Amino acid sequence: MSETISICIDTVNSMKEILGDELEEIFVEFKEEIPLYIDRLTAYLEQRKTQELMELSHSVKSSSGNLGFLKLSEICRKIEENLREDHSLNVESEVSNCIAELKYLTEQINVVCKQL
Amino acid sequence: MIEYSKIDSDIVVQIIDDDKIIRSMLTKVLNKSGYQVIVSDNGPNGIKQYKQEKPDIILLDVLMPGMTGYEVCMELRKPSIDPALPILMLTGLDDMDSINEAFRVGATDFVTKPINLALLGQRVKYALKGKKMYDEVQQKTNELAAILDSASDGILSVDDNYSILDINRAGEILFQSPKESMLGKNLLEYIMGLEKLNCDDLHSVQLAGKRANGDIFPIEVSVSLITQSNKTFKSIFVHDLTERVKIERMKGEFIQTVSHELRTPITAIKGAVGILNSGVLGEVSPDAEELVRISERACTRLESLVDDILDVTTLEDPLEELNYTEIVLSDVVNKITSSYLRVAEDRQIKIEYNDEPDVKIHTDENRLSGVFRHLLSNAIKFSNRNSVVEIRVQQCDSGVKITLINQGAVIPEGSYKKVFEKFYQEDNSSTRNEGGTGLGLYIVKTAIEKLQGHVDVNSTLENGTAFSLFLPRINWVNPDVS
Repeated sequence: MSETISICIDTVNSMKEILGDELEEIFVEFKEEIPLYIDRLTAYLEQRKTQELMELSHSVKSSSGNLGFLKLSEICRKIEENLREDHSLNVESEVSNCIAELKYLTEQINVVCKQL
Repeated sequence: MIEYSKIDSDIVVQIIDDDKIIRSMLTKVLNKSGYQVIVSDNGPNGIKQYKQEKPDIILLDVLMPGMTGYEVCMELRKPSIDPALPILMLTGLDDMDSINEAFRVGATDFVTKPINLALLGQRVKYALKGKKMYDEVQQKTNELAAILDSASDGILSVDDNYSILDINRAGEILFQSPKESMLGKNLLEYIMGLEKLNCDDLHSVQLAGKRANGDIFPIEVSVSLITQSNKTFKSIFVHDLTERVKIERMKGEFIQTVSHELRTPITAIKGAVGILNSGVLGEVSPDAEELVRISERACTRLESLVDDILDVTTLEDPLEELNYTEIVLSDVVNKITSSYLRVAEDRQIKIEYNDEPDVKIHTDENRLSGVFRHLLSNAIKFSNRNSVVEIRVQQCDSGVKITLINQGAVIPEGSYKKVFEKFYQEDNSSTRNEGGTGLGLYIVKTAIEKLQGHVDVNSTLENGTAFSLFLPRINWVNPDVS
């Protein structure tokens, strides 16, 4: 299976068509949430708060999917799925993947915003 | 590309979603479409906010911590909340289970995530269109209900078995029974004789209504059959006649008093003229004799006019109480026939009666005698000299038929109906010679219908003129049996 791309340009473009300049505001909003996501992911994992972790990954899956952040959305989907099916073994590595992708997106969003 | 033109900017969309980014994104998209947006970050807040701000449409996320979207939706589908409120649920793509569940809990539509922003506007617009149509239909329905409720007549709808489907306010008042206790009940319990009413009849019929407390009251009823998308039902209009009957009764009482008062002087004049005519007071000159005869005839005519008016007055009282007894038909016929023998003889008319001695019927003797007397007097009056008036009685399973046949002027077929109308007289020489009130056959028809029978006429040159009375057996109650 090929590596899922981080940001889907088609999604971004179609959003741009509808939202115009306001798309950037949403990206910025998301970017500002990233440190919060990372903090919460780390904390929930450490404290083994499965339910909270599941809810958070569901939420991030949904918003990132909507914004065209396909890779992040896919990682979150896996976390949610593993937790639901109780495959907690894989969760730790998926969460670190997730944090890495979030950090990567922090830079990439800046790049995309400049292109808009 | 979807065109986002500004539409009604008064429309408020409520977004209930726990995700900040989704809320923000949806708000921006919907604002661009011209909608006002309010947002709630969880279920309980969403419900609270809905109740305060009454938005026009709700976008509801399924998976939220705490209260789920399904639970919110069920809460918003409680009877106190507008059933037409569009609720669009945000579900996962291809997640058939959650889509099914969304519809089960009462969602109007669903939008899958990731949200197709271009389609979202269309979905919202479509849901609002449905809501608008529902509201318009609802408003029209309310308007019609208000019109029906403001009507002064009772209006009901019933199914084929007369089970009550709906009733307006006036109907409730009329029968003194609340709508809830009438729905589903059989209308025949409330309106006696309704089943005999034909839907094709455009005119209304007088029947008796029964109130919840058992009181019987006079009503006028009309029925029409309504067919709508393969379903038929009857609409029934009920007009309370209590007041009218009261007034008519007063009028009747007045006429009765006046008629009685008229009869006294007529009797006096008739007596006086009779004495003059007898010659007891001395010879009457030929010229005077003619005048005396004219006076005598006029007196007789005036007398029968007063009688007929009295008769009509009682007959037209819908609450007239009939006195049903068992009678031997031949007794009645013989009694009346014998009283007309002299008149018939004067004109050389023979009355033939095929007597069937054992026919017993249950009826009001007075009314039936009146009917028969009018028919016999007419038959003699309009017969050719030297002819026969024939009276036939036929019995069958369904009842008894009494036919009077005479030979004389023919009633044209076009007048069969008219001869029974009030004050109608066939305009020909014989009617002019005979005089009359024009009430006789009206009395016959009204009285026989009160006795639940009917009268028919058939007139030809070959067979003569036949008036047939029919009295159905169905309403005869044998006192011995009961």
